[in-house]
Amino acid sequence: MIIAVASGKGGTGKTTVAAGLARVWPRPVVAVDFDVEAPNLDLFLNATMTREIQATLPVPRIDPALCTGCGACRDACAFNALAMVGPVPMLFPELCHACGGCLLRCPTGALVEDQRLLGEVLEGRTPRGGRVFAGRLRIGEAHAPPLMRKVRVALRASLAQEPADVLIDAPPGASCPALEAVRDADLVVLVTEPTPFGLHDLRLAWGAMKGLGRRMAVVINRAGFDDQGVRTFCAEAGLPVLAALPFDRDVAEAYARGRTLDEVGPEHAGRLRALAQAITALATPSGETAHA
Amino acid sequence: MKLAITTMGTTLDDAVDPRFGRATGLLIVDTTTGAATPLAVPAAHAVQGAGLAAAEALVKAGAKALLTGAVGPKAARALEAAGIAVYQGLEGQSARAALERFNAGALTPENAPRAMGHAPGGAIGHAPGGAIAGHEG
Ligand code: SF4
Ligand code: SF4
Repeated sequence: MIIAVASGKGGTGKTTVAAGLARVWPRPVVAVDFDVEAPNLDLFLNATMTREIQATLPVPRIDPALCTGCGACRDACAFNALAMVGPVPMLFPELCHACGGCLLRCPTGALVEDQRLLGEVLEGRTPRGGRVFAGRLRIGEAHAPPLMRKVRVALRASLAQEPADVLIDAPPGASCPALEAVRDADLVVLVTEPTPFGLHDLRLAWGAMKGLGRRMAVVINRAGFDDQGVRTFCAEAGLPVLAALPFDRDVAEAYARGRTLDEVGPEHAGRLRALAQAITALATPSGETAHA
Repeated sequence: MKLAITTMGTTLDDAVDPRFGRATGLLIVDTTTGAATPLAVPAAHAVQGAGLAAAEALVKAGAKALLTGAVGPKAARALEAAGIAVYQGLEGQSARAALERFNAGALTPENAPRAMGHAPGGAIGHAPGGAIAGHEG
């Protein structure tokens, strides 16, 4: 079972919820930090990241000495990443999707495969032995999804050896990386705040993600304000509200000391456990029974 | 020499289009004869690389200068490599008026991008001078 914890905007406490869930999860679980532009789930889980693998993408490099300027590579590129504005093509790496099409098309062998560094795929364990995967995007790299796919490859290999549920901390927002993160989730848990801004961003994220055909549900974090707006929207959109997690002084203090939500107190831990149960129940395909 | 102007239509009487890669029209003007020929904008609806395709079209047409509103960072790099002088911030007037100012030597080339381009976060920038910069690409 794959659960993605997402949010329309940053600062809703999405990572806190994801980390708390990972700690109280009733079954073996792997935590995945897909917020590759600012990974920090490992810190929340107190994990030690022991493996760090550089992830690269094959991109073409042009050898001007062999190039005749025929433009065949440019015509082969569906992404307009090669421009013929001089005697040899000019590559725009930020547009290149590493499809390799141009390499096959060059008649003179002027295109050779080069590697673009995307960032690192990180693997580690929590003090209790739970597996944690993460990606760290290279500063300056414009696209997160290719690195996220590399993290997914490492994750799949690990799951094949030792099956477990997957709990994804998705990047905030409603753009390509957020969609990539929730793509194969059995359930997307949208964490929101009961404020007009929270509702606005929840609406955007829901709108962007509903096309993926994933089951979705909502967790109201920092409850305590009037959450009628969020609840009305969820009712209209058919989104179950699985929990309302209060934010009080104890929570704030625990965070300040680097504690997770389940460590704040038994009530908070209980709420998280109930949430984990609700999630597993909802994400279990009908016909199967949740073996909690 | 030949130069290119982005326009909202197909004649010199149409206004300068503030966008480059996604301009409504392109005119190639022969500055010695004054003749203006419309050129199809190659990739106005492309998901990405519209500005690069437009830069290529200019190279093919033999243009040595571009009069427009704003170019984005990738198009700016391509135009620079092609040796095409870029004149930006010319929206809000007819193509003819911009051309006359160019012929009078009243314009200064500026090859640095004015449009923000398509940032990773999806932000679409406003060019200085108030021009709305479209998707660069
Ligand atoms: S690898 Fe694919 S996307 Fe990249 S330049 Fe070549 S054809 Fe274009
Ligand atoms: S296909 Fe090869 S020879 Fe032709 S322009 Fe591209 S790199 Fe040069």
